[in-house]
Amino acid sequence: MNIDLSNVKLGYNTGFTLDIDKFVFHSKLITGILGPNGSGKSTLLKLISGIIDSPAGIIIAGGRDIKTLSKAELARCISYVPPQLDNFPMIRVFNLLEAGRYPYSLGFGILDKKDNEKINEALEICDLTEKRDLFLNQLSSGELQRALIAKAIAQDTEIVLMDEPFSNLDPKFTLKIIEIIESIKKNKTIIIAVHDVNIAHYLCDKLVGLKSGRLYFEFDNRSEFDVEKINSLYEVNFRHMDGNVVLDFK
Amino acid sequence: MQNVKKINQVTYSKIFFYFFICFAVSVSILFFSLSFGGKFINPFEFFSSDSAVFMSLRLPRVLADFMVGAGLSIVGCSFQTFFRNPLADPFILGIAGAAAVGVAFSLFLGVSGFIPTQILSLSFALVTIFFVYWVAGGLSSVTANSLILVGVGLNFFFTSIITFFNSVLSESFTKDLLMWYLGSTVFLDLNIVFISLLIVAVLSVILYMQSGKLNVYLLGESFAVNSGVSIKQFSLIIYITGSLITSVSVALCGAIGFVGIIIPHIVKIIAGLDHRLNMILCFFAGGSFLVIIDTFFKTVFFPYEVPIGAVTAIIGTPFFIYILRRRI
Repeated sequence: MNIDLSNVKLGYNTGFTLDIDKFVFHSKLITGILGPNGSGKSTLLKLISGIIDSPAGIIIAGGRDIKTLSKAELARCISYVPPQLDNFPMIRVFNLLEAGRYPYSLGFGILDKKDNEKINEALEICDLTEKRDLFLNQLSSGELQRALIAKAIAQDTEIVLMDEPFSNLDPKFTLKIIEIIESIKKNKTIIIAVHDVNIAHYLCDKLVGLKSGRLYFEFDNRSEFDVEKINSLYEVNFRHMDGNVVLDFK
Repeated sequence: MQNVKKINQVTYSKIFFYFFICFAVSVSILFFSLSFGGKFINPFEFFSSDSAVFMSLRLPRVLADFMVGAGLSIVGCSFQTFFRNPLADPFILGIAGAAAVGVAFSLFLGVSGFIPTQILSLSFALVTIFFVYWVAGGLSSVTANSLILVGVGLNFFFTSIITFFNSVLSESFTKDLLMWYLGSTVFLDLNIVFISLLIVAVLSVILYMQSGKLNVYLLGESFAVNSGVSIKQFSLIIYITGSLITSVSVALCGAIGFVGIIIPHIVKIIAGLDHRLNMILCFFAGGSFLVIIDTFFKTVFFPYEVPIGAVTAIIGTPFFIYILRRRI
């Protein structure tokens, strides 16, 4: 499923406005969104996932305007992985994944055989089968991040949006998440808001730069990757080193 | 392997099992409570020996106890999750205050009789429900936060009106109002109680239908939206059904506290946070709890009447502290 944005505008009363004339996120590709804090990355993901209702502009996912879809229909085609949980109730990992199957249920969220298969599959992909019955507050932050991704995998949507999935992770867990994302990439449209330029460079097929709510650059494939544009986006100095992009501290 | 993976999972059969066990236990508690009071009535002679006492005093009272306890408890359970506040109870939105102002007016105007008082207090509560919703909708979209702000604000307004009445009017008026506020399930008409119980039961079923959504909502609003919950519709149903249940029980029996806040906590500590199960438990546990407390006090202190709202906490709080201590 492609996602077409046209004339998407959203203003906050802080003076920030997100303003995107035209952009297409292509299916079967991982698109990374880069941009300084407050550049509108999260806002864009929340608009696409329907968490914020878009006051202006049209967002079309898989040929249908998301405004015409019910929340349940939307949740069956787009999943959103938040950077962290707003609330920490005393519930089990399994219950978190159960929420991913909620849009397919008849309102009570009772699972059938297919739901259970999807949940077990997602747990396996994310290496959480053993942790299925632990409470959320018993997980490390790396495990919690994986549980949030597992929820999105269980939700079985063609579009997956991830907001900073690498925040607060140690290098080993970072690699694990990259591995998970690469393993689910097939047939999905994945959009990741990411801060780490090196990860973005390695993982993403396409990159978009956002600055103050506007498109700053687009790299349509890996060969277009231009360190200079990234430097002017963040106002720092990155350089290539052995195939990686590293930050210059001087 | 598949079977092992189903522990902790809620299924339809589990829900029905919980429901029937709770239902059976509650019905037996209700049934045996009917025997107690000023005079012990043998369950086999309910309709033969002293049917006037039975039909006009005991039966309506026990049913009213159950209705208030069950209704307030299930509303408290959903409000705690909906408002994300462990202190949220059915009275947090100003409904009890509005109903009290209704009662105060009826006392002030000298409207006699029980039914006009109840009708006046119910109308005040209903008007308040829509007023709160209308104001909250004006702030932004109607959300848990805007509702609670308007509700709490309005509650102060009502409290202040009551205080004004109390300070200006006579002592007997003040005492009448206080007695109403403490809550009582004595001297109710069987038909009215029966109809109210039916209304509360139907509304509770509607509220219970939201249990799956409440589960998802526990994890945060944006999380719920991305799991397919329409927050607008969900908020409206929780708010309206919860408030209606509260209005009916407050108008009929006064502001009986405690059941709406502590019973849900006790149930959640014991049975967990899955609303598909704990809302069933709250409904029956809350109802049975009030029946037992009221029966106990009316039997022990006979012929004196102790207002039930005043004594629920005497038994309930030690139990609550015991549960908390055991858990922490």
